[in-house]
Amino acid sequence: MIHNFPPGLIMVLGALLLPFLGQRLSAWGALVLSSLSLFAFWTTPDLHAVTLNLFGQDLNIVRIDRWSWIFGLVFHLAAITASIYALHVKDTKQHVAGMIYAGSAIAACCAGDLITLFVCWELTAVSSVFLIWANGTETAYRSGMRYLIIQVTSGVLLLSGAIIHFQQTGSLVFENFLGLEPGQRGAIGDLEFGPLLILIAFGIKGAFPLLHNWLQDSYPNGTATGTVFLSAFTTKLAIYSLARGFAGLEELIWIGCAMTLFPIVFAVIENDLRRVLAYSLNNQLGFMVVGIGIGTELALNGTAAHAFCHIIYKSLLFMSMGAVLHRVGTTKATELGGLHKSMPFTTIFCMIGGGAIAGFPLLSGFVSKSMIISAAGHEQMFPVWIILLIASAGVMEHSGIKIPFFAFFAHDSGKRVKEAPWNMLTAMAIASFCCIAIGVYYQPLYDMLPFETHYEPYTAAHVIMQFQLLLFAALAFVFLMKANLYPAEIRSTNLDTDWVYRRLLPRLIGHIGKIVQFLDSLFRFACLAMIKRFLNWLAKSCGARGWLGSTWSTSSMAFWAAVLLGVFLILYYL
Amino acid sequence: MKTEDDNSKVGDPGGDASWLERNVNVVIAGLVVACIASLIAQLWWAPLFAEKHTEASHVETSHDDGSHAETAHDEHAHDEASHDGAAHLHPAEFAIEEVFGFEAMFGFAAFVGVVFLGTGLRLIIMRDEDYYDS
Repeated sequence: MIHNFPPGLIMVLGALLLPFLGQRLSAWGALVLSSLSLFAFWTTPDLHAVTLNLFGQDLNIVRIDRWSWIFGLVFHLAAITASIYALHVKDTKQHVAGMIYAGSAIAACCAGDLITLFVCWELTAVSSVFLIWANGTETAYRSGMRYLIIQVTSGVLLLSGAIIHFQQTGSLVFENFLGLEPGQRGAIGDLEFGPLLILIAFGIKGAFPLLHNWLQDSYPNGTATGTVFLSAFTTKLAIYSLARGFAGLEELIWIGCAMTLFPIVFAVIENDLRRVLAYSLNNQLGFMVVGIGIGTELALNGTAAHAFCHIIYKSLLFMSMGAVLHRVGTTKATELGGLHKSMPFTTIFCMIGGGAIAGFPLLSGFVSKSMIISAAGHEQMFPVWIILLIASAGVMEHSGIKIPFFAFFAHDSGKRVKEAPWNMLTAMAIASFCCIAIGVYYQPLYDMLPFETHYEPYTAAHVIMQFQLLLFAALAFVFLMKANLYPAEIRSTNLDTDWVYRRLLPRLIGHIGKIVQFLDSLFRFACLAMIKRFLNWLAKSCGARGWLGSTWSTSSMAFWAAVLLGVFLILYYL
Repeated sequence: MKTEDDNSKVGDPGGDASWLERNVNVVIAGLVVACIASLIAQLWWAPLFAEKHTEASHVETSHDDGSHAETAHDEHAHDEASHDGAAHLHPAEFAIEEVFGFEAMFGFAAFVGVVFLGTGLRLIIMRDEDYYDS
């Protein structure tokens, strides 16, 4: 019975009951809801589909196949760990928002048609913004507003694209828009206008280059616990949707390559460690987008596996920084350092997360990222392969070293705080366990992937090469530190594309406004002057002394009457 | 700018330097040893790769055997066995991968490159912390 409703609906509807539980219990309520939802999802039969007829249109509200299964499962795991992490939070609205957000993301990845996808897509946007606003600061409010506008725009584009696609093809089914099978590739030129709009919608949510900055703008402004939720769902929903709709779209390879590269440079100089993680998140999405663009079975498996592992270790990293934020009150590198003495467990968990994202063997990132890099190799894409290697060294820089080093080691800030609360530690321990478990015993993950695979990550050569890459990257860090060449942390704001809409456009609009105002006042002035002159003329000519208003002498009247008659006479004779 | 090393000299504000802070050089030495070990491992394992490849039988790539040594994208000439080797035994897809210490040099260079690029980027995009608030 329950399987006839979209997965995640338990969380969305249950969230509405949380306020009745009171502040203390609502956190536990959220944990119960996400666990119940996981149970319901786990017992869903394979290849399950439910169709609902609405306004004469068949909507495929539930579609469980291998793609939706793996994303749905990891979304549930993320929701449960994030709920445990947030158990101490007494702000009910955060729990409500978190549950609706997670539930709608799960429903979205199990949606078989574009309209259901759109509804869930917008619901994730509207619910998640409360996790940013919950911070209560003016900065968070403004950032949340920008986030909401951009996310809703993405949804509107998705709906427009879906409607155009429906008019052209008569179908709302959400499947590969190019009609490609795994292993085939197509170009962006083959896309109709509708799917193109949908691609842009996915691109906004997936933080494509130049469309990315909502991510780095909003995530660091969320609450300590809210950002853990945020990091898991929105962008990976976009990755799922891209993989479903645009696998094999060649341009995605290059978009993905750009995505892996530029964030690592920004991450080097960013001071706010949660913003560093947001850049790092963007870079990881790049790997997945490359995998989608390559579009072979191995690459798509790599994308799915990487999304799975990524959600867990990225949550873990955001959790460790959330714990620091919770205890210290800031995540700015300039204010931190030496915390390993007072937060030893958080330090260890953070380093496990950092190791996993960097791809150290025996941790989860290694078994998933290597699939995508190998897929690029198999297709003999040398430039792509090189770019992914550079990106891997970059990940080592910002997440493997910078995050743990500047937060927990580096120069001692002198701050002595309490270790994170038990529930935060529990959530981090669970995520750390998953990172190690997947890295060591990866077969269950590989069995879940969309396509059957015999990929073997632990070959001697592969392990040795990965160790060389990462260890020498770490050596480079030591070298740069010793040589005083590593850029010092500076309290600063680094401009990114958000500058365009936060500074350039307002200024341009300001300037344009001024010009319009000037022209307007000039025009008004000219008109007023003309009217004034006309009135003056009237007053002059029609006034008591004006030539029109004054009394004229009888002789001049007789003279003009004679002239008039004379003219009349001449005309008469003519 | 402070480095790990500075800490051990200056001492920390709390005066309760941890084992790690007192033994930064041990950590660095450990890292160097691990780096060297990873290089030695490559030498050690190299012959074993070849053996595995000759054992493996199925042809993986679509490249013509005759032209494989000509471009950088192809496998080494001496590694004809790896050419026929199953991809899951040996992930090397490009000749450059088999150069001794390639990944090590690459990791080091890429790291330094990224950091320098970042430093350069600061000149262009760095503003005051309250840039957007003012």
